[in-house]
Amino acid sequence: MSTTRPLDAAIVGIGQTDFSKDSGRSELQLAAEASLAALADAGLGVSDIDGMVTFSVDPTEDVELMRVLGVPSLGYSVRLPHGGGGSGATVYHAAAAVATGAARHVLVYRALNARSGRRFGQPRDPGAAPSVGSGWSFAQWYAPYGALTPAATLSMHAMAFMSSHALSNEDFAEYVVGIRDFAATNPSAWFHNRPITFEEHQASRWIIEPVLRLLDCCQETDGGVAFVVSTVERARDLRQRPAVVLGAAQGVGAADVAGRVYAQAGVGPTDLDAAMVYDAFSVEVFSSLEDLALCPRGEVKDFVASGAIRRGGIVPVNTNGGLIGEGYLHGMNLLTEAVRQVRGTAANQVAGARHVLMSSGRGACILGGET
Amino acid sequence: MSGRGRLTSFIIIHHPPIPSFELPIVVGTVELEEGPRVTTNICDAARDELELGMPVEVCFAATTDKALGVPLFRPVRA
Repeated sequence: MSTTRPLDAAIVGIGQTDFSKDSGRSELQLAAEASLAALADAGLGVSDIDGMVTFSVDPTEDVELMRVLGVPSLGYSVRLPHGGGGSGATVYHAAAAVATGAARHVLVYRALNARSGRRFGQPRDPGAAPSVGSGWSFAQWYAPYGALTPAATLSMHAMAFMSSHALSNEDFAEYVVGIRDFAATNPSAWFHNRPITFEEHQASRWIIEPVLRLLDCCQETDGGVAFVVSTVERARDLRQRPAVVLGAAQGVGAADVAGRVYAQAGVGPTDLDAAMVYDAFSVEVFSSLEDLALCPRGEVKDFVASGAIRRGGIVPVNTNGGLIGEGYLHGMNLLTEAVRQVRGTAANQVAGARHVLMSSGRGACILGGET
Repeated sequence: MSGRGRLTSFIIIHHPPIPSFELPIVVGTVELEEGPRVTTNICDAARDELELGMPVEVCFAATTDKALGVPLFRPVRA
């Protein structure tokens, strides 16, 4: 396993717009608003930014965001592969840029009108060319048979995992009730003040039988999220308590990515105080928990049922309500939640959180306070 | 090829509506006796019949071109 020491980097500012179903403004506007909020949070100005990172399906070009913000020049700019899977990888690339001196302050952004614009849950145009850069070109093989939504294609894969782990949709209810409990006490969440019961989950209609019911699916959300990455030394002069990047990685193979992050950070799964795990659909969390070694292989069903990842559990997962409960900002709102947990400012704060992991499968990081 | 295989994954799509399909749609992955796996639709199957590992056989859906048929699969009946 190729591991190295941690990159010298920290997340120094976070920002977001309101999360809604109808933003009433362009994605460029949302990206700019979130970016300005992140800079203000950090105590930086637009001219301090000299690097940008986003991922494949974001519609906002770096040059457009530079123009509207007034960023004079960039020494580093990259657009990562794998769609939402790339959200967790943004930290790795931004950290690498500042640690190597390619940039001083890197702005990471993602903004989407996934409800009022192109709805993410609706079928793809079967006649459209396979997407390049999102990791979804395989979808062309499903299209002739009617599997044209993320829920459908993901469920085709999920069936094997459910079968080998004796999981049913009732097991997913356990997870969803837990994150809706978190969302209920998070004012930023779409489902703020709206917890659900197991029975309500099971009464929701099938979207993809026998895998996903309506309440297993994330929101289609309008909004923007941004954050700024700098070196730890520069972070000390800024406004917020830095969220130090203890470990970060990108790759294909979720367990391998997680292993590299743990090794870099010198932190193991049992050292985590909280984890943010990509949950466009409930079932994804179950395979991810095993890939992240939060429970032994084959035991995720009992692990989730034990309450381990709920409020007050040994490793609370998706304390903002996740992408299902807070909103689908394509994974980026899980990163900002990880930062808030490390700062001690989360709506559902885990007392004394020191090591917080975020994973979107193809990218992951562990954030912590400065030691 | 034998046209026979077993069902290695299946889903029943209930929502949202898909242009030119009638809901619910049963999509499956079939591992052919010869080894390759193909994505397909499963037809002529009752909901309770669908089971991972079940034997299936090919059938062909007609197209506007009389020389061409789309390979679909159905449960093997005794």
